[in-house]
Amino acid sequence: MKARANIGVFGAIALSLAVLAGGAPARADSLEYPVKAAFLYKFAPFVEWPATAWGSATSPLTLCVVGDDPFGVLLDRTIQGQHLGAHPIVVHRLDRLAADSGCGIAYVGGSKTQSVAEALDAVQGTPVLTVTDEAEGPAHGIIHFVVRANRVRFVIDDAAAAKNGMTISSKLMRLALSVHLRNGGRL
Amino acid sequence: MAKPPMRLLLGASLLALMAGRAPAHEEDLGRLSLEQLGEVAITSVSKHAEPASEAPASVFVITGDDIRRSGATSIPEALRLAPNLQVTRINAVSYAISARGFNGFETANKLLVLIDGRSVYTPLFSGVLWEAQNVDLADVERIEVISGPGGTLWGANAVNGVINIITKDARDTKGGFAVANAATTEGSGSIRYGGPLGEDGAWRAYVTGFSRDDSLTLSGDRAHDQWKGLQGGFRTDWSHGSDDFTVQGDAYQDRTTSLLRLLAPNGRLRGGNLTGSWSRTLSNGGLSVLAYYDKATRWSPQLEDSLQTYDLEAQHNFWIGRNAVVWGAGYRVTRDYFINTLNAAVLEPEKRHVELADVFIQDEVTLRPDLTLTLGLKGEHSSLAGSDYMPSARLAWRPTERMMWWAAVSRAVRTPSRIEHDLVYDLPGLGRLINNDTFDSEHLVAYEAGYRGRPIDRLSLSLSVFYNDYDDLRTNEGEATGTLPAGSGMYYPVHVGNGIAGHTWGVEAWGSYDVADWWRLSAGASTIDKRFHQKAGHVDIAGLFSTGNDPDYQASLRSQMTFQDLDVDFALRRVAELPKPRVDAYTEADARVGWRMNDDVEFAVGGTSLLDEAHVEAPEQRQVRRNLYAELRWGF
Repeated sequence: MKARANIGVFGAIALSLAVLAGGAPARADSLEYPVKAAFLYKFAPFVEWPATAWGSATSPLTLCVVGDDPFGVLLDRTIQGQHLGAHPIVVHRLDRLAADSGCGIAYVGGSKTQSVAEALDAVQGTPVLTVTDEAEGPAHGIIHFVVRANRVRFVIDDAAAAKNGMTISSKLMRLALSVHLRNGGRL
Repeated sequence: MAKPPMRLLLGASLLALMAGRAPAHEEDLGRLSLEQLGEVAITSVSKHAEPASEAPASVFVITGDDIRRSGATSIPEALRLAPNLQVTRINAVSYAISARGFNGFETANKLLVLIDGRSVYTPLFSGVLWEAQNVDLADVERIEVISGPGGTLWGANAVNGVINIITKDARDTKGGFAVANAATTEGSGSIRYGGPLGEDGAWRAYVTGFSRDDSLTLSGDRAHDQWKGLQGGFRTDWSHGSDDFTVQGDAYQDRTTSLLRLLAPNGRLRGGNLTGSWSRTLSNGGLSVLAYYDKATRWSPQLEDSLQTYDLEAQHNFWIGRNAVVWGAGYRVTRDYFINTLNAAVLEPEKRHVELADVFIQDEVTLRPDLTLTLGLKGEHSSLAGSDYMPSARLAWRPTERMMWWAAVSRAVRTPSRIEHDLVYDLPGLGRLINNDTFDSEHLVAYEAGYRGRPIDRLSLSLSVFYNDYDDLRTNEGEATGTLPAGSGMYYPVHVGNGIAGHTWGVEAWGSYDVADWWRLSAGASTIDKRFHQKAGHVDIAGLFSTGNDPDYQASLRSQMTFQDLDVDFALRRVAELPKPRVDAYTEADARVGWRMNDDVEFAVGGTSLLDEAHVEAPEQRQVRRNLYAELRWGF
């Protein structure tokens, strides 16, 4: 008797679902890019740039977005007022990355005029923390964002950091999904 | 440019749909540490990447960081952080924890508790054996506390609330970590180590142990309820393409260490569990499957009981038009036994095999951009309790991004425990004193409404009101045929019936205010008013005992100050008197100072229940003592 009543209610719900279907598509908002934007400047205290990378004790740390920009105004809002010690952090947007672009951190999205791999090559050996994104393709910078199990995570290529003359703290490495060490090992 | 991939509802809190997944607002992300950023769920099952605090329900989220700063060394103590829970410490290790009333060791039977999706609510007595849940607190990512019915998603027994304890992904706990806590009434410690597993995965293993000293009787003597326990376990997480996998397990043993073991309410506990989950991200939704096995055995003098649970559940979520739909099914088998050689109170049958199957569907419909309606229904069939259904309807109105008003109507069910259903008591000469198989499920229709918002940047507020209409609550009834001499006040035989109806209503409110970047003040309170009566034809010889022994109100205040490398925390809580049996109101304070010496080492000193040398929280009349501690936390 009870079971029959259940079926009745199920039927009513199924019917109401059918009626409500259709209409405007549901838009899926995501915190993926807000989280990536926060990571971009929060990496900075765990990275050591060579002393030659800084113009002066108070010169800005430039965070460049190279090529396609998935962040938009969100990144500017996130970075506004942030400092690394005495260095204010500023955002620049570039179509192409070059050794003399003045970037301390470069999020490389890639574009028609310069692929991610080409941009990474352009700054190899210069003190730039290159950040790439699995969503943009497989080419890896020093830090490479991936999304696993609904979380934004990253892998670190410490060998690439070494080539750019930079040191990454052990704490940041411990938070990485995996690390390619400068001696060829893995962590 | 590649479209941002949509990832859904994966990982540990498989069924934590209603609560959402993401713990942060966009504007809050800047406050989070690197570790915490890595723990932000980027989408929830609902269309918005809504934080748990935005679900249209009364939800309070305890973060791992809150637990660290509270000085709690056990899950029940950590749950005191939730203003929508009543946490009552009964003795050295036992607790009664409830939401929206029904507090008491035996009567707190309307709250479901899940650890990474695994239910720890025991069908033996419809409660939680808190002393057996020794999760390593350093591994807890967050605890979602939902007050109010959650049966539509979680099934029977989620009558007045659901607690989801969610541990960290192994990828967030690489390296070593140890905690040692030495205190005047207890000691505890844990050590964990984790490492990578292939390109995309990680593992960790841990051991945690505790020893709690005796509580005191009212006359100040030792109550001989001291306990110690050891638990170890592991968790592995890995991904392959759009598939995510988790395998985890724990094993534990707890026992009393009192020389007077025969007086101990429980003697020894041993158990273990193994859980596997798989989830896949689909282009338009996701699919997840969870399976677990759990075994728990308890020995006390001349008493032994054991429960094995096999559980399999699956769910699928997708969008169609303006509907976010999630549906799923589950199947659970429990096998238990209960052997009593102490007296004639036994379960008939001594062993039970119970099968439980359920299906559910929930649809969140966007009626207007600022208005969503969530309709859901769960149907459940148990070979012990029969069939039941748990529908709910929730409406959420978000006039601005900063506020939400919500209202809900839900039906919930509590199924009979093994003891309520099967307990008999035979005495030679008198025959059967307690009859069995006379009790059916208890029912609730709950009406709730609430507000949640951030009127200004520094202030967040939550307010919920509820009116709960109960029926068929448990009575102990005497049968007229066997009544002992008139005026003796004694009856036999007795049986368990469904003779109480009535309602409760109350308010739950909390908020936090950032006085400065380094100083956060939080406050919370809950009230309850109860009106119960015996239904026509029923006389409860237990005097409405099953409706609980609840304070009219409780309130708490917390201050969290963060200086350069110093955390300074204070907490104050007040619990009104319990009416029947009477327990005095009490006020207690906790304090903690933590010094983060460097990235890896933190040293803290603090105390709990500081205002009195000892105080009583429960009618069992055991005094909980003031506790002073020193704690070292070391990452390596």
